[in-house]
Amino acid sequence: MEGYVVDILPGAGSATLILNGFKTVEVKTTFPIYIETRDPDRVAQHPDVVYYEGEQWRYLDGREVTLHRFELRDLRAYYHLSKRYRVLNELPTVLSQTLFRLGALPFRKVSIRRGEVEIVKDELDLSELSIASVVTEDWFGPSPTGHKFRANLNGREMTGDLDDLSLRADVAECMGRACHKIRASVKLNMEEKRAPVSVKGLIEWSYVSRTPVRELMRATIGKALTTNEAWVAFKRRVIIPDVVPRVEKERNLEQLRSVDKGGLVLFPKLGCFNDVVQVDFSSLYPSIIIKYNISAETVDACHDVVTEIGHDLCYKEKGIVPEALEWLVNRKEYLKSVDPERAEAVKWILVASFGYLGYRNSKFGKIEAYELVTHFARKTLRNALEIASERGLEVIHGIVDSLMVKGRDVDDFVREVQERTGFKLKAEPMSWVVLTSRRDGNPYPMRYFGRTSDGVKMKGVIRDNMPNLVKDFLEDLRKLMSSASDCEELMTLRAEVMRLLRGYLERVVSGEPRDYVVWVKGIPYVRGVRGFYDARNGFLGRDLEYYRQYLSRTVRVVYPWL
Amino acid sequence: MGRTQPSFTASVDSEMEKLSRIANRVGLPCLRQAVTEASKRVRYFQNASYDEMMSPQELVMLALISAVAEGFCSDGGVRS
Repeated sequence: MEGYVVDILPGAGSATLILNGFKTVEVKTTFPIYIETRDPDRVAQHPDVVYYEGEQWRYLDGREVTLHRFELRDLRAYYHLSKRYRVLNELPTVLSQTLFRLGALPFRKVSIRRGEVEIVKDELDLSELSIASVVTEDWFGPSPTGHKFRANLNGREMTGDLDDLSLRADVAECMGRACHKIRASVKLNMEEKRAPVSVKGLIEWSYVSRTPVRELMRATIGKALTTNEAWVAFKRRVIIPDVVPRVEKERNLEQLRSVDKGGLVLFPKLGCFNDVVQVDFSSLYPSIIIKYNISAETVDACHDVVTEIGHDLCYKEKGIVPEALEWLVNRKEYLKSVDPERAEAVKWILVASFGYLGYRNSKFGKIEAYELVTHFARKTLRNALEIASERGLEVIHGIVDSLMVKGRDVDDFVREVQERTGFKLKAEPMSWVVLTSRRDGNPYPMRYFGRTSDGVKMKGVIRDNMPNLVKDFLEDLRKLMSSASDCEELMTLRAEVMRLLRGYLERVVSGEPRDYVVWVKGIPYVRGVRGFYDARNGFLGRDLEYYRQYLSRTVRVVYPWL
Repeated sequence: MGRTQPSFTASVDSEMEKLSRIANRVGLPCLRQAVTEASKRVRYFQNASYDEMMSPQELVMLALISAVAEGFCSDGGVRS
């Protein structure tokens, strides 16, 4: 039998592999558990322990230790033993470890003959899988109690009444009653999902983390990242602890102030600028971690690189975090041209990788490692600023890993920065860009919009918690502004912008109830005359003045020439 | 990171406001003008000093000195 591994169901002395196309096959297996104990025979008295073996492992700091790996007939024994003994290497999860040993990693094509599993295709090919996403909808938007549905099956859109819904898929994310209406090998309930990625993104996470997608459904980005790091540690026989004691170096307030800083953020020059190039470092933070070998176990382990912030780096052994990230960065680069949606899912893990270094519960992090990353990031951007200044370029904005420059020979500048810093850059020309201010007139670094070859790009302008009406207005405004080829033309759009605004001010009065909905933390609200109310209780009127003012306020920010 | 530092920008703004209040009370129009000019350029001093150890007071003073050095408040004199 051949197919893609979609899921695994543990049994007694065996596991059932679920393959695409609803195929199932049972393979004999045991389930491993690593326990730190001086009396392994006592643990082995459990009736589900088949046998055990002693293995040499080491802690992150290099200390060696003997761990016992017990092989269990039934997974229920795992939970029983984990409550009574100190269990280590809980990540990768026991099912991931089982699949790994079987040679049946998630979303790889395998061939199974007489109980023997063999990977026949290691690359994930989504065209051979059926993937669905089904959302139930009410008048205000997605809702588990809605009676309408909107589905997407392998890119094909479907809508209709929930009673007419009939759908089969290998993996499906669903909501509310729709979950009972569809047939799928793995159903991922959207209400329980914590990952900020789509079903395709979750499948990619499952692929890169070698963990069943069902186990990632409730996982945060941190789990996907930590599992990747845990696989590196696992292969090196480095113990993955359940709890990491983290003691920060003693420092005085001055030292802390000098190093406890984020990336370099420049306050922008205000106004509209023609012919600007946005220059971005690709995956700067993960690249810094990889280049400088930053990981909990490499910081201050020796003094191969001495930094001015008091933390040193050791290059004797490649760190666990850099090794895990290297494969993810390469994977993201590869996916960019294959499937941008999956590339975005990997990008999320990379985005979290830096923050997780400083997170107190991170298994492979350390606050000093976190500080080193921001230190090198500031240094890198400062270097780029100096090169820009040497070349006579005007820098109008800069945020952490991105610069907006104006001037001649930007390509040469990009090449020089790449050579001198060792990091990859990408340049995106903008025919114009607008940098806006706060209400008090001071520059605001996190908001800008400008025209690129793909249309108008807006940052920090459209927020999730805006009324639908305002979001629609901004989308229309974006389309309108994309017709301007320079700042001068943008300013002449005043009459059109006014016309658009007037249309939306009329829509405030005559709009559909859905126009007034504001989503805050997953709850739909409408602003009524007595304040905000929960839209799930029905539409009970709207405060016209609130929506009018919201529109007027927004247009002043995005189009200051009115 | 498990610890939170107060916003440096907010501290700079609060220092700037303090200076502006004092300039208003003293009643020196040219000083007021210099403070207003300093508040416009203080962000650019922030950009340049991000990697240095500098207090908000030092930063605000530097912005003020730069404004004065460029001729703001050159006539001097109490006008109240």
